[in-house]
Amino acid sequence: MKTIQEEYYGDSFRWFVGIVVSNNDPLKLGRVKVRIRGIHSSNIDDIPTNDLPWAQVVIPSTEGGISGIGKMGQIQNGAQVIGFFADGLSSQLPIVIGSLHYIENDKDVTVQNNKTQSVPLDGQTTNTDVRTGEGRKIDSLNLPGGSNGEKIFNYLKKQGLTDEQAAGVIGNLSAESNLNPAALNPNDVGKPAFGLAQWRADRYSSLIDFSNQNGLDYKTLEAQLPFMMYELETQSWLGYGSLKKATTVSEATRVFERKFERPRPGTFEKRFNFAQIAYDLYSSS
Amino acid sequence: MSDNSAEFLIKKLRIRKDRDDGSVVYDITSVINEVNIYEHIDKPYLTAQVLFADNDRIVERTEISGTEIVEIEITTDDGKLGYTIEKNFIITEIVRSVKTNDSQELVGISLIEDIGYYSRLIRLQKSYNGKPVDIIRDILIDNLNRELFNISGSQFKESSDMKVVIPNLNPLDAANWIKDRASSQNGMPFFLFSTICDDRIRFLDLEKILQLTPLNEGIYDYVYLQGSSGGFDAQDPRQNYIIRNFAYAGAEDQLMLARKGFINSTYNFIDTITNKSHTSRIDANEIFAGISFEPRQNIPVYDGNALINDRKMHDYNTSEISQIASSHTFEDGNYNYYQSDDTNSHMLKAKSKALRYFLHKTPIEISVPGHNFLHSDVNHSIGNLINVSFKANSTSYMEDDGSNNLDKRKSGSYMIYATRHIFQSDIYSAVVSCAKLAYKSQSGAI
Repeated sequence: MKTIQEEYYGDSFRWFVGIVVSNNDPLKLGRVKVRIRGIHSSNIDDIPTNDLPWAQVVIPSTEGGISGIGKMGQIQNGAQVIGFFADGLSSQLPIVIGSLHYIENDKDVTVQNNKTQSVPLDGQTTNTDVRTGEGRKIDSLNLPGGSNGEKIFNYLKKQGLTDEQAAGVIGNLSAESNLNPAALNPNDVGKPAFGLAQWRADRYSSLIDFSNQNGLDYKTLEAQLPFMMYELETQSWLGYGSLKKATTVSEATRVFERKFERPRPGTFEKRFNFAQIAYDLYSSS
Repeated sequence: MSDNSAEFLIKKLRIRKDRDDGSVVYDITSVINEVNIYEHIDKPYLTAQVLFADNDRIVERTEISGTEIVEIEITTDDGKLGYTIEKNFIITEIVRSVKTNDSQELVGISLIEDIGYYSRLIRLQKSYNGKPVDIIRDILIDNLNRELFNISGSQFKESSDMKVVIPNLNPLDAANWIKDRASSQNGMPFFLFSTICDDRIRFLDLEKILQLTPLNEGIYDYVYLQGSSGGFDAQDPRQNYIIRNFAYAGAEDQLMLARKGFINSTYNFIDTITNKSHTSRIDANEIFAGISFEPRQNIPVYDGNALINDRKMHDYNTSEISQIASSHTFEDGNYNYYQSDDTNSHMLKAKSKALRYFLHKTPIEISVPGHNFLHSDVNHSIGNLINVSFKANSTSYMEDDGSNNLDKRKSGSYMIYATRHIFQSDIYSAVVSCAKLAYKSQSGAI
C-alpha cells in the first residue's frame, strides 16, 4: 500500500505546470487558483474551480515581502504558471514561482469551418479550452438566426435548454440590455454594468478575461453567450440546475431573474412579457 | 458452532475467464492442495495464494493471463451451520509451476480480492469534502461500489470539514491516505481493512479496539504447549486454543522508534499564510500515561524509567519533524488535509502516527487451529483482541503478586492485525499476527 509520509517538508519535491483560473484572492494576498496539469482534472464536475486550493505566489526578492512595501503579483487568469507543492506527493498545497509565456494565438487556436478549436499542448485536438482548463466548448461562433433574439434562442436551444427555458433567459436579457451586447450602464449602483446580462464588478472582469483567453471580443454575442453558459455551468448558485427544471416560460423567467440577474424587485412582469414574446416568435411548437 | 467438530472447508473454487465472446469456467475444487487467505489491518482488500495439481491442462485451457476471477466458497464440512463465505479474487500471477510427473504440474497462483484489483485500474483526480469517514465512504461508493462499515465511535476532532483533491491515487490508496489523516479524540490511529467474513470495508480506531472484550475472554486463553495436541482429546474444546507454534521476532526495537521521532521529538506545523508555527513535543511517556489500560494489562510497552547514559530515553529530543500546514486554502472555510484547529489538534496526528508504530514494538505470531476465527458473518479475526498465555521458562522467580508461572512479556491481550487462514485437505488452521500496547500485569490462569 502506498503511503505518503514526510518528516521534513523539503525532503519531498514535486513541481508542476498549470493554468491560472482565478486570481480573485479573498484574502488579497495575491494568491491564484491553478488547474494543475496531471493533478487537477480538466473536468469541472470532478474538481469544480471552487474546490481548487489557493496557491501562494512567490514574489521577487527585489520586493519587500511584507505588508505595504513592494508590488503584488500580477498573474492573470489564463497564465501558464510553474510551481511546486509544499507538501510534495500529497499535492494539496501548491506554490507558484513564476509564469511561462506561451504562444496564445498562432498555434494553439485554429479556426476550421467557422468553429474555434483549441489545440492543447499534447497536440490532440479538442474543443476544451486549454488555457482556462475549464472544459468550455466554444463551438457556436456562427450563430444562426436573423435578429439577436433569434440567435440567442437558437444558441440556448443548442446548449440543451427547452423552448420555455430559452425564452425565459431572453426575457431577462431583453429587460437588462434590449439584447444589445454592447449595452453599457456606466453607473449601476456605483459601478459600470455591461453587455447582454449587464455584468458588473467581478463578473464584468471575468467576462473580459474569459473573452481574452478565448480570443474573442467581449462586446459580442459570440463571447457573451459562451461566457453566460460558463457561468451557469460552473457556479451552481446562479441557478442552472433550477433553470433546467423549469417547465414553463414563467418559471424559467422567474428562476433566471432570481438566481442569475438578481435585480431590484418589481421587474418580473416586464421580463415575463419579453419572454412570452420570444417564445411566441421563436418556439417551434 | 459446536466446539471443534465443525472444520471449515473449501466448498468451491472456480476459475472464471470473462471474454467478449463468452466466459470460460473451470472448477478446480477437487485438485486443490492448499489455499491461503491473508487479512491485514492496513489493507482494505484480501490477498490469497492457491496451490493446485494441474493434471487436466487447466492453465492451458483457461488461458490464464492475470485477469481471471477466482470464486471461493468456504463452508463447514458437516453443513449444519448452513453458512457459506463467498469471496471473489482475481489472479495476479502464476507464482510457480513445477512438473511433478509426466501428466501433472503443481501450480501456485497469487490472488488479490476483486476490489483491490479493480482499484488499481482506476486513477482519481477528484475533489472531496467532509469528515474523513465521509470522504472514504464516498470514494468507496463512487468508484468501487463497496460499502463502508464504520465501527468507530470516535469523531473527527477538527471544527471544520476537510477538503482534498485526490492527487492521482487509486481509490483504495486514496481512502488509505485519508484514513492516515484521521485520528480519534485522544489521538489513536484508524484502520481501514477487509475481512474474510463479508464484503464490507471496515473503518475502526485503536481506541475502540482497546475497549473491546477479547474474543476468548472467560473461555480459554490461547496457550503455548509443546506437542500439538496438548494431551487433549479431539472432542475437548481446549484443543482449539493451543498455540502450535509461535514467532517472537523483530521485537523491542526502541531505537528505531526513537530515530523516527516517536519517543521524544519536536513537531513543527508551519502555516505559510499566517507565518505562524504550531510547535510542540511528543513524549512517549506522556502518551502512555494518557491511555487507560485494563487492570490486567497495564504495563506500557514503553518503559519510561529505563536509562540510557543516565537519561531517560524520552528526555532525549531525538528528531525535529516539520510539516507545512498552511491554512485558508479554500474560501468556503473547509480545512485542507493538514489544517487543524490548534496545536493540540496538530499533535493528535503525531500521536496517532507514533501509536501506530508502537503497536508493532512487541509483535508475536502464533499458529493455532483456525476454528475460532470464522464464525458466520461476524468478524472474529483482525481488529479484535485475544488473550494469550505463555508459561514462564522457570518458576524459580516469584513475582510480587505471588505468581511465578507466566511469561508476562509474551502473555496478555493482543490486537490481531493480520491473519493467514490456511485450508489444507480437511484441516483449517491460522497464523495470527498480534500486537499490543501493554504487557500483562497480573497472573492469569492457564
